[in-house]
Order: sequence, then C-alpha cells, then structure tokens
Amino acid sequence: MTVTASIEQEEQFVAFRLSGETYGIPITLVHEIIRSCEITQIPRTPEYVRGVVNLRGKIVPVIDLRRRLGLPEVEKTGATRIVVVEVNDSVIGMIVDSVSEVIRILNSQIEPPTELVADVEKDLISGVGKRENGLIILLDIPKTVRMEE
Amino acid sequence: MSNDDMAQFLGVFLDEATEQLELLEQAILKLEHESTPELLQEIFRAAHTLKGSSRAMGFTNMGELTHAMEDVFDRLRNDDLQVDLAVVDLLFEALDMLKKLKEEITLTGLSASETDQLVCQIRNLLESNTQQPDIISNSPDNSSPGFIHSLLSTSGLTSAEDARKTGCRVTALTVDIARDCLMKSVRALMVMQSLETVGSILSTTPSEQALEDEDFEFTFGVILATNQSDQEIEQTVFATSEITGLRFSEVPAGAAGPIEDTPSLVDERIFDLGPESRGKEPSELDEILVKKSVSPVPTQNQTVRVDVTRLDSLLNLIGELVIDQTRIARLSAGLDSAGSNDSHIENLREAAAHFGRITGEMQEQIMKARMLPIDHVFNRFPRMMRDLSQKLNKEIDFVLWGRETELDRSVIEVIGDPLIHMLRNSVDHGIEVPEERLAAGKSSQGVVKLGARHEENYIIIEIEDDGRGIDPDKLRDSAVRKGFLTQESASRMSDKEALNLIFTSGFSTAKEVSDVSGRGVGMDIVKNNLTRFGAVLAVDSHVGVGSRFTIKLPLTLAIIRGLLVKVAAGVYAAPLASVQETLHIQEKQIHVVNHREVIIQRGMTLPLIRLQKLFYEELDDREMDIPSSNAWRYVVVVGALEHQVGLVVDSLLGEQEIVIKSLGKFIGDIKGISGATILGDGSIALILDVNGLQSIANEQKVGYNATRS
Repeated sequence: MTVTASIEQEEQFVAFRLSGETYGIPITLVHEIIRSCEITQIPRTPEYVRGVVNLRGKIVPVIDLRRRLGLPEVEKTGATRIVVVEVNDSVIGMIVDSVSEVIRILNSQIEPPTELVADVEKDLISGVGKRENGLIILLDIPKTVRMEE
Repeated sequence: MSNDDMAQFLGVFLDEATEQLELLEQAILKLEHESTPELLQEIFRAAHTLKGSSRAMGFTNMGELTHAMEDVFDRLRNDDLQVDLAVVDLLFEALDMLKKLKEEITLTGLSASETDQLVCQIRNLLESNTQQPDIISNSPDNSSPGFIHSLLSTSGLTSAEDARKTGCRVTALTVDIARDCLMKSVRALMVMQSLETVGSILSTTPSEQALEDEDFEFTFGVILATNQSDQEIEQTVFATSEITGLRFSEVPAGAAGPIEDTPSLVDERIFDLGPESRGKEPSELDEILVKKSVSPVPTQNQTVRVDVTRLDSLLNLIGELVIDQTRIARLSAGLDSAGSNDSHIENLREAAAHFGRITGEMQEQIMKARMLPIDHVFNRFPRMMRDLSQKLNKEIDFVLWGRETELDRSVIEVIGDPLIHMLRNSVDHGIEVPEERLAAGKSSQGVVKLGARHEENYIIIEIEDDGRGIDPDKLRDSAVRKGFLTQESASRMSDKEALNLIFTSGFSTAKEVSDVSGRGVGMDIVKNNLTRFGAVLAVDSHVGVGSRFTIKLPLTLAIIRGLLVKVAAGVYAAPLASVQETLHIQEKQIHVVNHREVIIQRGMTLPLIRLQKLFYEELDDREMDIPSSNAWRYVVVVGALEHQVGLVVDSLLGEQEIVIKSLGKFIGDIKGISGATILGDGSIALILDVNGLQSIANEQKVGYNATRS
C-alpha cells in the first residue's frame, strides 16, 4: 500500500460482543441502544426475526443477530442489548450479547473479510478492522437486515 | 427574478395552476353539453389566469398554449366558433399537455415538453373556422394589445357610455402594490381577475400587456364598469395580498369617448386627482388599510395550507396520547380500587378524567382536520367516463351524487384506483352499445351513477348502472368450465352466491378482451384491495336491469375498533367491521369435511381456521393440546356473508379503539396480518387481516369440491 500525503480518514464504530468476538457497525447507522425488553412474536416470519418491540410508541422489528449470523444461541443476560439501527428508512433492532464501546479505526486499518472469520456468514461482513488488542468484525448492515434470503 | 424568488413562488404557482386546471377540466366537460355565456366567461377567466401566471413565472410554452386556448374560448364566447367534438377534443388535448407541463415543472422546475405543434393545431382550427379574420390575428406570437382590445370589445362594453347605458357606473381605481412585492405583475393580474367578478374592466393603465410584463411602478389604474358599491370593490381588491392602497374616482359622463382610444387622458385622470377629490376621506382610507391588516378576507373562511405529513405526524402523536391516556385511566382506576382517600389521589383522578376528555376531543378534531370531501376522488371521473364512452362508442350519462360527503385523507388515497376499475367495468361490461339498448327497449343512453353517503361510522359508496346486468347462470357455467366448481355445487348455489363468483381470483366472463378493463380479472383484485383496509364490497344485479356495487368503508383507516382475542401467548385484534359474531362451541361440534374443519351454523357449513395452528405451526402437533371433545372453544366469525370463516381462538379479551401501525418495510406483508397496535399496557397486539386469512382458508380448500365422500 502506498502512503499518501493526505490526512488519513478514520471512522467510528459501535463495538459489541457476540459469541466471544467483537463486532462493529458504523456509528452513523446506530439510532440508539436499549435494554432487552418484551418482544412480541410475529408468525410466519424467518426464524431470525424475533418479533417487534414498542419503542416509545413506534413498532420496531427486532432480529436476533446470533441467529442471523448462524451462531449458537444463548440465554439472554443482564448485559443483553438491542442495538437499534436505521437502514434504508427502516428502523430495526438487533439483539447482541453486550455493547462494549465506541472505537475509531483508520480507513487504512480496515481490510476485506478473510478466512479468519469463517464461522459466520462471510457475505454479511464488509471488512475486518485491526486494533492493538485484536480484530473487530465489521458488519454489512444493509445486507444483514435484508429480508429476501 | 432570482432563483430564490422563483422557488418561493413556484409552490404558489403550482397550487394555483392545479386549481385552474381542475376548473378548466370541469368547465370544458360542461361545455360539451351547454355553452352558456357564464360558463364561457368562467373558462376564459381560468385560461387567462393560467396564461398570466405561467408567463410571469417564465414558462413560455405553457403561456403560449393557454393563450391559444384562451383564443378558442374567446371565439366561442363571441359565437364565432361552435362547440363541437373536434373543438372539445383539441381542448382536452391541450389540457392534458398543460397537466404534463405542470408535472414537469413540479419534478424538474422546467416546462420542457414541446407545445408548438399543439398550438399550431389550435391556430389551424381557429383559422379554418374564421368568419371574422380581422378580430383574431393568426400569428401565434401576436399576443399584443390588439388582442386585449378584442377582449375588451367582446366584453360588450366598449366605452364608458355604453356601460352607463346598461345601468353600470364607471369608476377609476388606483391600486397600490407593496413596494417589497416580488411579483407585481402576478398581483396586478390577480386584482384584475377579482375585479372581473364584480364588473367589467374597460381599460387599464398601463396596458394589460405592460402589466403582464411588469412594465410599471408600484401603482396601476383600472377603469371599471360595475354595479357594485365601492365597499364591495374594496373587499374584492384587498382579497389579493400585498395590495397596500386603493383609491376611487368616478369617471364623469361624457368625459371620454371610447376609453381605449384615449389612454393618456385616463392616465391623467387617475393620477392627478388629489386625495380630497377621491370620494374618500383619508380617515376612511386608513380604515381600509387597518381592515386589511386585521382581516384581509372578511367574507371567506380563513384557511391555512398545511403539509399533510404534519397532519399525519400530529395524528400519530395523538394516537400515542390515546395510548397513554388509556394507561393513566387504568392506573387511576387501580388507585380507586385500592380505596385510598388521599386528597392527592382525588386530584389525580380528576386530572386523569379531564385528560381523558381532552384527548378524546383532540382526536376528534384532528380526525376532522384530515377530512376531505370525496369529490377529491370523484372529480377526475367525469373526464374519464367521457373518454371511455367515446372510445367504446357508448352513450353514457354519468351522474355523481353525495360529492360533499367527507372522509379521511387516508381513505381518499386508497379508494381511487378500485373506483376507476369498477367504473371501467360498468362502462365496458355493464352498459350496452346504443343499438343493443334500443333493441332491449331502453333509451340509447346508459346511466352510470356514482355516489357516497354516511351511514353511522361508515361511508357507503355506490356504483350503479342500468346496463345488461350480470347473469348468474353464465357465472355458474363459466365457473364449472374453468374448474372452480363442480356442476352439482354450481347448481346448488343461490343466485346471490353465484354473483359473488366475480370476486373469485382468475375469474372472467368477458368474451372479448378489451383494452379498457382487461380480461375481467380485476374484480378479485379490487375486492382484495378494498378488504385490506377494512372495506366490504357487495354486488347486486338483475339481468337486463343493471348492476349495483356497494362499498362500505370505515371513516378512517388510522383508528378502528377492534375485538381483542388471545391466541397462544399473543394478543390479536380483529377489525370489528368484519366481525359478524362470536360463538362459544365445544370441540365435538367440529366436523371434518374433506380434510377441512367446519361447524354447522344455521344450516350452513362454516369453515374454521385454528389461529394457533396457523400462526404457531412450528409447534409440534404433540405440543398442541390435543382437544378433548368436551373442551370449549371461542370462534370469531369474520367476513362477508358468502365468504365467512370462523377463527378459533383461545379467549376473547374485549373491544377497544386501536391505532393501526404498520409493521414496516422490513417485516413486509405477512399473509393474515395487516399491522400492529399498541395496547394500554404498552404491549403490542397484531391486527388480523381477514382477507388474508380467508385466502389462506381457500388455499386449504384443495379438493373441496372435487370429491365428496
């Protein structure tokens, strides 16, 4: 990679944990993060759609990110959160194990997905960010929340 | 004019253009039947307004076209030209082009379409019919004062003397426009139009053309022949905004000959008169100015244009308020039953009760604010019906009634397409060609009636024709031929049941495919679309006499009454409009007919859908509680008479107002569920889609009629 003279661009990500790994989604997409609450099931929807929640009078669908990524299921804990994102004018919640922090990653430190993250569906990953204390898997949110599969 | 100014006025221009275009369409339609001087005057004025404003906004092709149309109206007005089909068709063509231009302006800010050809066509028409070639110039760009003179002369009042002979008085007005007014010419034209309603404009200073071109300072003069008092004129003039002053002076008899010949004289007359001689005291003038600033249009209803999205979000907020109010009412009732006598609690209860009343009133008011007369949908139909009947060579008298019936915007938005479809069906399949009608002893002209009325909390829309009607026998035959029914079950069907076959998907009786209403596959789609938002569609028809379709619609689609039921762990709401009755039955009353569970209800079989099985199919059969034959079940009977199904639910929870919310794009359409609502305790109930459930039931009906064991 050539070094350019311009100031390097960095992006901010909301980092969260799923099955022992750290994942990130661009902070610009994140609406808010709420505690897990009562979810109303909706029949005849894909398995990873857990249902809908009442977010201050708005009906917001919630997906189970573990199910979506093909990870093993766990019981919900006190740390379980719903990350509410806004994609293509839709507000959607995603259940994650816990939310850790907001991190900044230089664009140059982001690489395309590799075989390293083979245990989740590779199509849904937009890249891998390198940090001092490990890797962060960056999710392709629009793909993750697309229904037609 | 700067871009900012343009943007600022573009919205106003488009709103006005929309109104004028609608007015033109209605008027041209009427013109075909009766061309009264009043009507022609109205049309002329609309075209004139549009011409002026589109030119002022710089949309020259739009201006040219309206100018050409205006010429046609002028000739019609002078009896130089007769209304015939060619004229009306050409006018409609021009009108369509204007609409297209308006769309282009809405989308891109530019009017791009080429109008020259159409303008030429109109000119040619005028030329070929010319009887008095001196009056109308043939050159399209001769929009000169010469034209305006002809306009003046055709108003029938060529001079102040003539005007007086007809009993009018002639008065000179001096109108001041606000110094910061950005579009003087538009304001001036608006003033002139409004003046046309109270009298005849004999001349203007400067000329009308100069006014249009903004070739004047902030004052202009008008000589008006009128019967109205100065006060009426005042009101008329000040209805236009940015008008700051108005002065009157009588034009003495014999002072001037034909006014348009001596504009300079009139000029002086208007501007040289001192304040004392204007027939108005300065104090009165002040009064006028004060009046204007307080209430510019005293005679009209005061209205504000509001973006519909604001009304929508207001309704959403109130929907949430209603939910909170339900919660507070519940809490307050809870405190009541706890039996506390604390004065705070007493106060809280009072506040809660008041809050409940206010919320209810607010909801009512906002619903009213969203109401529009159904004419917003109806007004486009006369034109459509005219085009259709011409295309199909049928003679049709299209009658509209109940146009003022008000209903919610949300309903207005969705009702248009189904109505278009049904009207087309009436013209295409219902009304016969004139020869056939005469042979059947009817008048050659068919009648199609469309109307609306209120009935309790519903709107009833009726589409009626006196055509050939729908033959139930033909429907039976067709259904058997297409394999929808066995011969036996078809013959057992009542006529009314047979009529309802037209709502069956994929059913068609039209022998020929026409490009008007396709293959008749439409009625099932129409019905589906209507049922989706809680409407009920019924048909009644007699062979040779005609058909009537009745649509029963909820007043609003935003808030409905629902019956809450429990199924497994979930709460569901069935729209009360489609609930016929609820039953309490025992398992042993359920029979299986052709792999389908039914109960016998008043001698009819009622197919059942077990919602638990339908919605929670992932539950293993073993996990479902195997019913003992004595177990009691609740059944909610939904749907219209001939298509009822019974929904088996675990328990009934009661009726309540529910605010319908969409599940959103992400979840998308789920068969059997039309949306969700938030209950008083903050939990979510899913709203049942009766139509979807019925079609699920029908899918399961495979082989229903095939074998009868």
